[in-house]
Amino acid sequence: MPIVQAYKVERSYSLYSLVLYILGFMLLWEWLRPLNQISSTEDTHVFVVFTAFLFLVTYFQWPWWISFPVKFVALMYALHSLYYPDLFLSFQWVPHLLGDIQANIAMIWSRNWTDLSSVTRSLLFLILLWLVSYLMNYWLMQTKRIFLFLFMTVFYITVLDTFTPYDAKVAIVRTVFIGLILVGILRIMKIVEKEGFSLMKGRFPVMWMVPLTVVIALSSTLGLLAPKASPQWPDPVPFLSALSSSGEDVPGDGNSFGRIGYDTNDSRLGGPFKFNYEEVFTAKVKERHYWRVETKDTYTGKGWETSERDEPLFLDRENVEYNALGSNLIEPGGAEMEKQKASIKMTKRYPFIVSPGVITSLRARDDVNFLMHPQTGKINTFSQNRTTELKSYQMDYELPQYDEKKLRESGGDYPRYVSGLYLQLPTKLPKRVKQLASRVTSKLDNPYDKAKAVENYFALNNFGYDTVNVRAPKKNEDYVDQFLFKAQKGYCDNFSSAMVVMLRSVGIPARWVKGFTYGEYQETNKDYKTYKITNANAHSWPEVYFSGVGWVPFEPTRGFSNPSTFEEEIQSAAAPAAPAAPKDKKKNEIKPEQKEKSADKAAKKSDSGLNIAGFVTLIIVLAAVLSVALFRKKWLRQYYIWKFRREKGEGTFAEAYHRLLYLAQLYGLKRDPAFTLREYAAYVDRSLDTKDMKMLTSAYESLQYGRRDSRDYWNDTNRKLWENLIKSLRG
Amino acid sequence: MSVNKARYDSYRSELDAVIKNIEHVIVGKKQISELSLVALLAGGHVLLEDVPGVGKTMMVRAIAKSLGLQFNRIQFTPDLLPSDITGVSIFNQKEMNFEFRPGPLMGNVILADEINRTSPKTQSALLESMEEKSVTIDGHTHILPNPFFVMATQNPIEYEGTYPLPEAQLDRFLLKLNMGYPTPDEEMSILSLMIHDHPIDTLKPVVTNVQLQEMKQKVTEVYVDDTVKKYIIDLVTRTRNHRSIYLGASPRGSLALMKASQALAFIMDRDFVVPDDVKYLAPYVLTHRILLKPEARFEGESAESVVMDLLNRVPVPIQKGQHAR
Repeated sequence: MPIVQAYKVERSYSLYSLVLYILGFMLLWEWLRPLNQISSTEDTHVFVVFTAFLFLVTYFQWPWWISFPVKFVALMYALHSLYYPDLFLSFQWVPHLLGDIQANIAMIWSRNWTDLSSVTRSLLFLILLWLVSYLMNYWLMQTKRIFLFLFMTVFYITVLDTFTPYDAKVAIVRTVFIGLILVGILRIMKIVEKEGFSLMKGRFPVMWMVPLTVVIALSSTLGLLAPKASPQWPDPVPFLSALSSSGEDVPGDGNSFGRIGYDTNDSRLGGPFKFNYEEVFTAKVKERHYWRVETKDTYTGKGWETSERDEPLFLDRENVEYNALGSNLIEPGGAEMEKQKASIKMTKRYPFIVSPGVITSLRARDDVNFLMHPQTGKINTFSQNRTTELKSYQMDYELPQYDEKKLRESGGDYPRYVSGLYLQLPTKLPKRVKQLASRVTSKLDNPYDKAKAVENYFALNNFGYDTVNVRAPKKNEDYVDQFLFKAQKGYCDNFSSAMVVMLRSVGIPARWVKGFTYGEYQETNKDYKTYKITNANAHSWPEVYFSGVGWVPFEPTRGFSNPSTFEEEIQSAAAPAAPAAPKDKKKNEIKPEQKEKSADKAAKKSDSGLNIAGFVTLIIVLAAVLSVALFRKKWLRQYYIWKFRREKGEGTFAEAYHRLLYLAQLYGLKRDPAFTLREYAAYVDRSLDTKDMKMLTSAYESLQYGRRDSRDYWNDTNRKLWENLIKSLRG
Repeated sequence: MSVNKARYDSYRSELDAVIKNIEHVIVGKKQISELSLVALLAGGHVLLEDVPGVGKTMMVRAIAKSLGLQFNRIQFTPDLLPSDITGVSIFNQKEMNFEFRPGPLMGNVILADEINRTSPKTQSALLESMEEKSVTIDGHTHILPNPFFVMATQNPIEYEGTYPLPEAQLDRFLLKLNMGYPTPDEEMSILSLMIHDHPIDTLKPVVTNVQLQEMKQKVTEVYVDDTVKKYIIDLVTRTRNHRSIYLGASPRGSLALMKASQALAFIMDRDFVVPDDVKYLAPYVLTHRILLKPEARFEGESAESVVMDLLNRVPVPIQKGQHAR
């Protein structure tokens, strides 16, 4: 490649820059390493390889019109290898990608972070890596300062070590070692640059590198081997959680603080609460999902109650009746079912089972009987006719994979037991609730789109998530009406109740589900991941009935992401061209992994309500702002040259001169206010080794202090002087 | 602009010739000769504070000779009377009337040597004539010749038996200069230069009186921008409330600074004043116009250091409409 050679000639000490790039890459790698642990991402190697490639291309220092397309293609290839099974060169995946991006841009504009697809998230993350690689190049090659980044890396690793399961013992040693070598090399390069001597072949690097490496290796070893004092502070994590849960446990009387947790009485909802992080149970699963406990059917205007009409059924633990569970959770053939296994260990003792979906068999102590309430789906545990609490149990179950097309086609003919129970509304329900629901759904023709519209209504209208500044409804107020029209903020109970009531008011059967979100990731063992579910994970959400499919969960609560079963629908919706069934199936199979792949370090946070895409976007915006701030001098320089090339007229020369002064100050040539222009010009000329500033200044002087017609002054001579000066300014 | 430039060029050559002439006699004192010319062109006078023997007299003579002006020297002594310098009326017995015999003050360039040795009476006679450009003797006013340029010297070492000039009278000098000793190299060339005849004897005038008058006229036409005026005023007003200064410079100080700057700009071949002119001249114009507080003097500050301090602090206006604060 002749171009490569041409640029190689210009570059001095390229061996050094190669070493720098490699070390810089290794430092950035430390940011990517924990991803698969803290976010259960399996394909971090794609990001690592992509980053390495970026550094390689940057090292060659090709002009931007070569390097940019090359990097862009690499980005596309990385994205492709993550998500699209077909051939890269077939380009069949391109329309899918474009459609996906288009749909997601709309979501970004509507700030609908939670619904962003994983492709877009990965794309944003790859772009972020690209920006960071630019930044690294700037730090390594331009400013030759890396300490800030090193510090940030150490900070990042230690924070992860403290607050996540990531073990940073080796990483921290690696980081410090790499970082110190990097700082040492950059230092020598700075000295070389400042003193203006060129590196002698071979000799200088050895002279510098050997002691540097020896000193760093020695000190690192010493640091590793030296005895260490025990921590002066207690581990902050339990300390913090103890602090946050130390509040008084006041029974909910309306406006006083309650505690979130699993509570069987929901007849009066509302009022503020404090999070309580006491552990309830841990679950070992392949894939995280929400945990159902029971559903409620009757909305009273104040809360939820159950109309216990049918007798509870004993369950055969080996073969739990498919259709008996949870009032036909899934109609036969309503969705594709994925077989799963789970193992639950209870910390708190509850006399009921948490259920992931459709349970097929349960394994527990032999003396235990399972009793299910058909309406609520709640499974109680009995032993010798008395309720008992299980310490642990295992189950086989099936996770439904809903097909969006089927959902859309589902019509309005509901079985009687559904329409009888799940369209109930209190007679006192204010009319405006129904009016609002009709308005939101009026333009849509099928129940599924209507349900989606109501689900998105809260996000689109900026309803807020708030657990503290919420007021319990007054005596004559309806719980849902107060939330929809007065408070417009609240927590899961508000959102889920409102969605159920709104859907019911437009004739779509829905019910209110209580349970837990997927909890906090702990560790991975073989294929199984362990999650810790605390009282703070107690949650409620709506389920909507679609004839022919069954009950489908939705997630209207702001800041919560949909249960995983639902993201796939969005995927297939975004790629309508997705053809034949077998391929579709394959798609569905890889989807759950994709979701994890896209996860960056923030992904884990999503269960505590922070949304990932928002976080990623925030980082990108921050990176953009940072790069603008870092490169502002360069940009300003170009901008001024461009601007004043085309400007003429009276004030131009004076303005251009003052811009030059401003820019020179930015570049560190400070002008003492008591300096006259000549004194300053002499200083600038000395620093830049020119005489241009003196000449330009004397022209400006006669304009400023003499009586001259300013129009003649912005002539070619002066403009050339000015441009030369601007160009010779160096950081 | 080009027209203006051509006109200044013509003066430039003469000014250069004058300075060259002076340099011919005084080695390595270009700055002092230039400053003397500034004072001359601005219509002011110079106070030279220096030890004897550094060439003060020679320089004044060189200026006078180069400009073709009449040079008089007055050696001030404690017993010198005002009439000894201004001149005196003597009764002419032949013509039976009083006849005016002009004193040494009646010249163009006057060297007033060791001005602080004489009585205040004589000093004030001199200073009055400097300001008025005329002397009044026995009710008759005698106009002094034009140009009238006084270069007074003071010995900073000996104070015994001297009458230091009061503040009000120091104010009358446009500039106060210090010759200083020559460097060893300069002294070397002085020795080689003086080995035969003194070069002053061969000096020829290079500028006519008419040209000089023209130049003086041109100096008054040098443009001073409002921003520069503001800078001058700012500098001078700051002397009035500086913590080390007991008595600041008067408005006459501002005026002097502006006039001197005009003359300097003219010598520098410019028809407008830049802040650098002001900054350059400020120590020469302001130091003898301010009185330090005793405590500041004890702390080792001098008028020079205070003025330099001011110059390092007062912002220079660099933009139209921007005024120093």
